[in-house]
Amino acid sequence: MPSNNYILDAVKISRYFGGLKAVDQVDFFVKKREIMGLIGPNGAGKTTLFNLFTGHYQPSGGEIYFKNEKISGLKPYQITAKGLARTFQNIRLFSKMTVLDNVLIGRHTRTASGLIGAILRRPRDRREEAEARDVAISLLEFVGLEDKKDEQAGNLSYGEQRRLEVARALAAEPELLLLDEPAAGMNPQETINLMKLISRIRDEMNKTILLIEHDMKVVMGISERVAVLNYGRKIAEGTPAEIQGNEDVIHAYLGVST
Amino acid sequence: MFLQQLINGLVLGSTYALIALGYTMVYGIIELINFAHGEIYMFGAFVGMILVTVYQFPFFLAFFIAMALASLLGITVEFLAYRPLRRSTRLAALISAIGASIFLQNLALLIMGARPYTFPSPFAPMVYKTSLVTISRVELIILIVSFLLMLGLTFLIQKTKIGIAMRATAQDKDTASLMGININKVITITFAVGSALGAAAGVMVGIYFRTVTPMMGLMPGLKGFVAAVLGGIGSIPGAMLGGLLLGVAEVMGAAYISSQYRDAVAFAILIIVLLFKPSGLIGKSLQVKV
Repeated sequence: MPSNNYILDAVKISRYFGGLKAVDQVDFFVKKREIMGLIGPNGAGKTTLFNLFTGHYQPSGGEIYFKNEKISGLKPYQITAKGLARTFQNIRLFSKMTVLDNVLIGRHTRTASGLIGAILRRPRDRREEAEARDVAISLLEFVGLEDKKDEQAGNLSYGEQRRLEVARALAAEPELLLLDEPAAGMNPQETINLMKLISRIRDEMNKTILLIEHDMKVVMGISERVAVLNYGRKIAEGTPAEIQGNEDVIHAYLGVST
Repeated sequence: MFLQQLINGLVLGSTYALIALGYTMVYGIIELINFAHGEIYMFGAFVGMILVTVYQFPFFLAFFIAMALASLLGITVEFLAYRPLRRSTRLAALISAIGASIFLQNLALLIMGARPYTFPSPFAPMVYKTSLVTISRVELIILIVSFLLMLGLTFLIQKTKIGIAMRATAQDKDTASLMGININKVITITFAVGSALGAAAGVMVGIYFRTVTPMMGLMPGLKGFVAAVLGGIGSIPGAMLGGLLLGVAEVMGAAYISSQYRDAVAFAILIIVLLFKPSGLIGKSLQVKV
């Protein structure tokens, strides 16, 4: 077991779908409190890698460590409870529930009350409910959605839904937040606001952030380190400046054979 | 006369509503028609009857114990008969449900015998009369207890953490599990709550008709299912409304047409609903997931 100050450390991680090597022997780490970008052409295996981290897929080979503790093999809810939360490429809110309820669901792993508590409603169950609500509302304030808390999530604008997803993920009190194409479909102004929000999450809430993003302005603008995947393999890793000058990366994106 | 029949219909309908809630909650979460639900109702009635007659328990204590034990039975049925089939076709689970239903009926026949047991009413046979309607104490208790249980359930679903988890699971299991919700636990709790409500209906019908038999769950089980479909399966307010409407329709049919058409009315309603509004009165229209 590796011992280092990496919050997330994947060792020779692979995921095969039949003959397709979606992720192939990738070594990957994220340092505490950094903002890291993950890029690559479509189908490079970025989202598959996320799904491996969150336990949605089981690796075909390799191991994943979170805070020096092995998490590969655990169920998604167990990994969430350890402090890893994510948003999705295609927005996956509970569209028929209110904005506030959506954030409360994100808080699920941080509250203890079960069925017994719900029926008996002891003082501590009530206190816990009130607390969860306060946290949820302060998170909605953080992302600027507090005045929409009673609306159905499905009625929010696209950019608002993205921000709600971020609030919901933050409700789980993660140490590491995975953002899957957070800027997809946003207009330039919304994108700028999103970049500010991501920086604030790191600076004010002390979180580590790993994001997949196609918008190079976003990735290069806020990431301290960037990793590049192509055909399931990691082909480069470094600062945004290094990546922008890397020939393999340029070839991968422009399709020129080396 | 009409008002009196309306009261009778609401009393019967409130028990259908409680049964329908069990069907609709389970369907909402795992899209399974739990045909063993009628047997849970029968089990609840037997537990209540035995505790009151043999062990001389006070009625409401027996009532709550019956609900608790029925929860355990519901969880067990889910664990043994449905969970292993979670990833198979829906038809396999449905057949397993029918099998569980027949098994439980016959188990009860084996243990208790085929003869009906009397469930003496624990309440003095008092009636409250006004110029328009007469209502017995048992009927009044059924109405009040059903109403309180439905109110409690609504609160549970809408306001508590576990209720929010249930709604989230019903809407999108994958995302719910990524939010840290343990889906298996939510399913277990859903069966527990649904079964407790079914058992509550069983005990109350037991003291209403004063009879308990191993086959008593069959017809009310089907009626509860009809009520759930009528309201819109998967919808909790739908199950409540569907149960009350079905009870009233049945009693009115018996009073104004012929009491022999009682069951025919219920199933005619099922056919009509399925033909003209398959999503039910307040059910969401069927959506295709992309």
